[in-house]
Amino acid sequence: MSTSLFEGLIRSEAAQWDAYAPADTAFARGLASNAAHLADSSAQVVANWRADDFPISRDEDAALNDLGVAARPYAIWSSQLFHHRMRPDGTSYRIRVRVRAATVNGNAAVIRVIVRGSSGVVPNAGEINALTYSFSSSTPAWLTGGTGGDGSGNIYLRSGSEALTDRATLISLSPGDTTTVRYTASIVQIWGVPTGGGTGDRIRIYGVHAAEYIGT
Amino acid sequence: MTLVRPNVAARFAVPYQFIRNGEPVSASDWNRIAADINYAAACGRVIVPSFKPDTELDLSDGDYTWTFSIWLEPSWQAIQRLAFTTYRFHNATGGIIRANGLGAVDVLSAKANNLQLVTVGAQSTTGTAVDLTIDLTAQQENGFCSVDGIQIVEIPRARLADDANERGIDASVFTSGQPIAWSLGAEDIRDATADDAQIGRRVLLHYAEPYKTSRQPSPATESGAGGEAVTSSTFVTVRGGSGSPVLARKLRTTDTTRVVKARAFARASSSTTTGEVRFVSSANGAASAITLDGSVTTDFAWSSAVDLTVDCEDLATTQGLQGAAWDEVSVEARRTAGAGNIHVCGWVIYEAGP
Repeated sequence: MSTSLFEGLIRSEAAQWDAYAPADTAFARGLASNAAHLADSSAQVVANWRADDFPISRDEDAALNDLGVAARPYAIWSSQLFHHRMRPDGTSYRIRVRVRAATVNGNAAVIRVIVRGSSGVVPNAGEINALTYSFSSSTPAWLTGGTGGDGSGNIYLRSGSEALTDRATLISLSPGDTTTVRYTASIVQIWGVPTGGGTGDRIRIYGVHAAEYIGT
Repeated sequence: MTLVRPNVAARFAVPYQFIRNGEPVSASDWNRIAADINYAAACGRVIVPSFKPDTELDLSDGDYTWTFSIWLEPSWQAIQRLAFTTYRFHNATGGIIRANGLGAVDVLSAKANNLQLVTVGAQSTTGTAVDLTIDLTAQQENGFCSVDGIQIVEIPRARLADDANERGIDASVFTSGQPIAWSLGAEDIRDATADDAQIGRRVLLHYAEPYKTSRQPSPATESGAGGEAVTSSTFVTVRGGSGSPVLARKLRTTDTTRVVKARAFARASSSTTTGEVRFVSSANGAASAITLDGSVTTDFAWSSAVDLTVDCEDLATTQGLQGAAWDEVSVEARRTAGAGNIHVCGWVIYEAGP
């Protein structure tokens, strides 16, 4: 949902204006579109890594059932808090996600990529802030065919309320007075569980990409 | 100078429907336009996207300090940052590790987090390198530590100055019933958005692994051995650098690509060894080479920046991809002369500042 009129910045020459020339409507529309595009495209990259030699595994943390496999999804990787941008409609900027993963023995597994506010709960499959991937390959690959989220490979928060917090900060470097600022603190996490029922099933995470996106 | 209080909790909808030919634009509509710019300027950026070093750090008895070099491309608006590190410990015997003053950490627990709040010394948009260290004490043999994430974010601003650096827009000049003149508000909005190279620019990819290891009681500081050593005379993919998704901001309506900057943190092992590091975009085939000359780079150092063309977002598509395909950037290196190695220990790809 690009909120600008032109999906790009419109250039204008400062020299063409006199100091007290009135701003006409066409110019105002251009500035309005520029402001919207600026805010749209200020979306940030939250996580971006790939580890082909030393992937992440949390098998030592899994709550194992009597088959020796994890009984329920467990957290494998997490970003840290970032200031999640919010759209004019009250939902968050979408998080464009990509996960590179494999199993150790080719048995079935499920991964869930989620975004949640600092006070939010871990979402279930199918919710807008969770993308679920089913896979089994023991060859590392970027996963495709995720279900849930916005239906297009993105996840987001329905509102910023679960992420809003007040944080102490400085007003400026000089004189250094302090104040509080509203902070929409979110994290991106990877949860997973082997579902094949085999002893020693493990999930390996070889890469994560998560970036804010204004969305369509 | 006025200090503007931006709303960093949510944006406003820009009221295009009320900006019509032949009718004046109301002060409240100008206010909303200004609010969008203030929002973007105040939010703070992710200046090191979370990344995992593609290495494990061996442990035995002793005190360790691992040093990572981090390249920071700051926003002028940012005055405080948060740096996070997350790491885990493994060993075969269930010993105890102490880390960063956290006390005894059971090695079987998942992870230890470390958080540092940093107030910048001076506001700047000039990139700079800083060292990030992880200190811990190990009390067992045959363990190892893996760093799961390093991430640095800027804290949002509660107030912005309405000057040419912080770009806050003072909306009090938009008075109901008064015409909006160029020098009273419109100029500030135009300047903030005309050729934006500051507000909201992205760091697209950052990678680092320890370039220096200190271990006590073993006295040696192991310096310069970090990173992957490359001896091949043809380009080979460097550890952790084989194809990471990169998607830049779209600046103009018809843009499909954007030229961004790339730097490598590398060294040649001797003064007679030379080599190259290059970045390859899967979508654009562009390769920008950084030449490493051993006579000046036998110590690890960040290279100068080179241009790299990558895809920019297509805002009409569901994930912003150009042609439904991810642009993946690979990092490659080779030795071009001499008998030694080329060590590559980190890199960064970012949108250039002013």
